[in-house]
Amino acid sequence: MKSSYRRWFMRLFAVVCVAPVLVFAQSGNPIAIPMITPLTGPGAILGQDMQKGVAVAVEQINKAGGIKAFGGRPLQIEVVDTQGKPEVVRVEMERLAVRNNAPMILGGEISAGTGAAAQFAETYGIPFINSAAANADLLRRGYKWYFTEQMTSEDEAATWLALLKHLAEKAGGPAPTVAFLYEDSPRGAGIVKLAKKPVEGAGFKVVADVAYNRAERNLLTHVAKVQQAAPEVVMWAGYLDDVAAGLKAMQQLNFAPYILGAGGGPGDPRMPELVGAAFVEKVKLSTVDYFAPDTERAKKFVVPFIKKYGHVPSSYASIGYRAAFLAKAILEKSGKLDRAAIRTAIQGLNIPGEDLISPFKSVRFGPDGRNLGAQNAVTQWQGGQRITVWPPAVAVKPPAPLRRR
Amino acid sequence: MITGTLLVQALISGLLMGGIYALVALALALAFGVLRVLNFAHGDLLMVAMYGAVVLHRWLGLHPYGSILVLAVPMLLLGWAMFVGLIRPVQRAGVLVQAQMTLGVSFVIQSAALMIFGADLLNIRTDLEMSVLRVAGVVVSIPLAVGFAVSLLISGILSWALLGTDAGRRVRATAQDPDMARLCGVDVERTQRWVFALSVALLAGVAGCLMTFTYVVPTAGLQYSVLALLVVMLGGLGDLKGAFLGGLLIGVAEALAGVFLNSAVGPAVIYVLFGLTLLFRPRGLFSRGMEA
Repeated sequence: MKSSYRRWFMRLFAVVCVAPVLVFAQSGNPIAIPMITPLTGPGAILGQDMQKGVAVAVEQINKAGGIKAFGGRPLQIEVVDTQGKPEVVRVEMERLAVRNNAPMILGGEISAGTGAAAQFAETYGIPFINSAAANADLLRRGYKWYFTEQMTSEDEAATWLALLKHLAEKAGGPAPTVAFLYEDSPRGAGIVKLAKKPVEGAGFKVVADVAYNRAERNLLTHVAKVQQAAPEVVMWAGYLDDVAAGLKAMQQLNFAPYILGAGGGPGDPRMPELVGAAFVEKVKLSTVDYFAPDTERAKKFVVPFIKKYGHVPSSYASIGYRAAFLAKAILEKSGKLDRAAIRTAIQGLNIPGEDLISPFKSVRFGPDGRNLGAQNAVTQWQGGQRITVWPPAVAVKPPAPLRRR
Repeated sequence: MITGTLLVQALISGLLMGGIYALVALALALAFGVLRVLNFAHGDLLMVAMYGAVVLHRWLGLHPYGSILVLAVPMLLLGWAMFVGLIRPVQRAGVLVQAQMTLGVSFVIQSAALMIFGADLLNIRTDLEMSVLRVAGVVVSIPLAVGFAVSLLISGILSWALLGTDAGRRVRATAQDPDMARLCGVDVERTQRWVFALSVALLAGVAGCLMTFTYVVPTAGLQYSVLALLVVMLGGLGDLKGAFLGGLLIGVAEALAGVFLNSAVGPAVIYVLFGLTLLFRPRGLFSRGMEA
């Protein structure tokens, strides 16, 4: 009798000890997916914003029951700092792939770092999914393990031209004169290189082509050079800090052309605060973007983000959110943490546009790793808010008209 | 096409910006001249003062110029503490140890700024920010012009203090030969402590001027440190007049490069200028500094 009690007690003890471990292994043990991004260094603003987007997404995913294909295990996105340096990217990729045995790696890096990461992923055979860099060159290298969900600079250039044509058509008269102003990194110079010929080919006269280095502190001279050419439209590719400095120079020079922007700068939600809301509207500051915060589909991200952080998310923040949900979709489809299975799952993925927060038609990867459903929107500052004005299929309002001189 | 107006615009804009660069570098040149320690955290200390100006503006609505006086005291104390706690112990160590120490301070300040303020660009919007003077088609930015005037004023006060006061004579004696100065009764350590603290306090003035037209991020310090080191080496290590002229030269070279060159090569012009100076005038523009 005494021994059966003891046996019963021992069994109970074993169940009490082992059960939580089993439950934890089934649904409590999170699936950790790393994401590389610059959290420090000159590009820190990108990574810091992205981290906020990741936090909102992970909260939503786990609240909704985690990754169902893995018995509801929660998702954990490990945001890894690369300082925006390709050499640090290589070291971190190696650590994550070899030591941590990550099933896949998410990319929230600028173009240079993404190139280094893609190269490593190809050599080591680990899926690397870029959600940030717009460089299209990597897609022409025949990589098997590199996928880009992000739009490319080719898409940006095409959207730029389409909107320019639309504005010219609506304004009537001869084709407006155009100037290119851009920071001279592969990002800024790359998009201008892709856009210039088609713009000229479409009959627009390019009256100035002015490049500057992002590190320059005073853009008065560069902007004065553009002003001297008297363009009606300035096509400007730049980041937040240089575009803010350039817009201040424009104010000082009394120069207010219609600005069609690209890159992270012109659409950044901090812009009106940095240079003044009135001037931002005066120049019809618009930007080709992968995030349109006023669209219906973006609400599932924008509303909780504002609730959590008290301000409208930047496009960088949207990258973090998109990347986390993409990781979830991949894991649900693969059902395994095996790299080859994950690669197959990525290739078979097809997320419809209405499930996304971006203006993309879908997320569906082509044989070169390109997102075939990537589609840009153009947002414009109107009434103190970023309004989606292009393409007509997703536009909330029409773009401000181009007034001819 | 490069017109005369554009050229004059570049010259004036570059000269005024150069005045600000000179102001950033003057404090570094002063400290190096007396302590023989190159402070790689110089720009980061400036960044601390810039964040200080932002905080004072947000809490008390203080104009960046007004923050100069308020920030000067805490910056002086920060400089004092940094000298006593960090610089003094490595003063007799090798150059590499000194460099490692100040670089370490730089990283600590950068990380602290990132943790406290985040990576966002912070600026102060004032009525003065966009104000300009227009003369024959050339635009003169008022905040830059004020910065230039402050730079001239501080240089003048420094020159007067160094040449016309007893304290200045003690500073010059310490800079020229600390052992001889000690034998003549100068309290060398006290002089060095004051000079370092004052050089850090001067950064409050620079921050006040900068925050009227630019912004601050946690990595801004590194840019200003590199800039100040370039200017100081161009002017001659420890040469104040050389540092002032070096600042102006860099400002003008940068602006003219923007006019004549249309690419990322622009900022490289400064380094070419720097290289040429090291090659042909290794002791600075006036050949009065220490050999770089």
